[in-house]
Amino acid sequence: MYVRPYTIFSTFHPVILLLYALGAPVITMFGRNPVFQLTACICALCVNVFYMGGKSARRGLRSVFGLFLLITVMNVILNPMGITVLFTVANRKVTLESLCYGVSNGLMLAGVLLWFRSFTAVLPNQKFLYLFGKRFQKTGLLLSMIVKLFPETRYKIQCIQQAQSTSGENSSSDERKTDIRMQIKKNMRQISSLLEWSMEDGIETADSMKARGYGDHIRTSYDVYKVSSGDKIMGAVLTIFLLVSVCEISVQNRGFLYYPTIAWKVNNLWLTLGGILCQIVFFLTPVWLEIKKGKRR
Amino acid sequence: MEICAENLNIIMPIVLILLMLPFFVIFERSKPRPKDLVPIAVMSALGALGRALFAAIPNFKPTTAIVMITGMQFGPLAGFLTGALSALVSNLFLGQGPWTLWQMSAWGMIGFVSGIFQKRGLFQYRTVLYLFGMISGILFGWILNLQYILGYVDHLNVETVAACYAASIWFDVTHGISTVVFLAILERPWGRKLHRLKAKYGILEKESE
Repeated sequence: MYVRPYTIFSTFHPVILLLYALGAPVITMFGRNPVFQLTACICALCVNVFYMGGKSARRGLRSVFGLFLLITVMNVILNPMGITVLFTVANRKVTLESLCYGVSNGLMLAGVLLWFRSFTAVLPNQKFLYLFGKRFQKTGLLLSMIVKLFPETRYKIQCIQQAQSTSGENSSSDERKTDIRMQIKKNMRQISSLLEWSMEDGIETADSMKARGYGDHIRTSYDVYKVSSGDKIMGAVLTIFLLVSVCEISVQNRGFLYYPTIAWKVNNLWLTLGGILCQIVFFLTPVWLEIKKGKRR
Repeated sequence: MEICAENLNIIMPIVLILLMLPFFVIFERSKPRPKDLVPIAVMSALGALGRALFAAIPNFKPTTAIVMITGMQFGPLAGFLTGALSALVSNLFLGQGPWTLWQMSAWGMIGFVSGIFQKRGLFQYRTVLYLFGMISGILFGWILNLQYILGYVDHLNVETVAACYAASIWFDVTHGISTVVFLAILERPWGRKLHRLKAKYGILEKESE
């Protein structure tokens, strides 16, 4: 998967990246108002395109769209509340209100999923481990060990499959209709050899770690991140926008009713618009940072 | 404040994190050596990637069985860690989401409880083991359904919940069956192998005794 490697946003301290990467889906989850959810969804899509390019974003959109439809339909079928009846199917009322509620809920889930798609792009695994490796040293080490084991294990699986396919075993692609019992037996043998191989390697790793003095001193990290004054400013700005958005959303949630009929009480138009703007600024932080750079040049 | 879907979306993750935190803290306190870390790492990687080996058989997920075997051989805490971490790491590659925490706690609990069962000697009876595998396969699906129900369905009632569980029952049952098949074939040989490893290299001694 392609990920835009260098952005201005990625130069900030990992804590700030975490604040953004978790803040955005949390704001999206809070929302109940379709306007806010739509903006969140569109912003999430923009960030997806920004980090991973149009192609990957389109693929993500396709998978998210299915879930969106599923939730909308589920809600329409299961939820008979609301006054405006659109039509009746098998003695069940299908109401405009439940349809709208389903759409808004679907949008919420779609938005959250899109945010999580760009989570690793915003906060790469290495920085994630840096953040949590200090407090939870052993767990952090364990995590990075597993991450390292992944490509290795994949390679081993390939080796085992190739080796066994030469020893008179039918490879799975050759004969699709092999007995399922045989298939299971074969796979069980493969996973057993995988276990032995990996464990042996693991014991060697452990011995070599011990030989190199693991656990004798305080652990240091490969990457060093220091909190600079820019980080502090950025952190303050993001926190303010996050808090304003959350407050504004909870106010808007109270003002928006789905049942019995859809109603949106806007107390103060400017405040509402300001809230939406705040949200957009927070969501698109990595994008507008780049625009500023372009102008300076 | 009224408890509705959007509040639960925030509350449940916090509850789950608080549920899992003690296990990780105890693990940190136990001062594990590199030798103790390795089996957990290997088993988690196997649990997360084992699915790739069984790609030819639809819906066959060995993860639950692997987590159970780890819990049985290396003790409850190692079982919990294997379950939780294989969920977390496989999602690092497949994509994180709100379901990560639920998967982590569900698999973690399966590993933990099977470790306790083994300690109590309940798994001497094969029936208990298979029954446990079946139930944990189904329960895993049910716990993950909760994530969806609590988060995204408004106006909870029996009908909605039943519809959701009815929609997923086939997946849950196949998950349970695949766990039982895996345990039936591999529990004995893997148990022997891991036991020998433990005896030979003194892995996780403190804990599994």
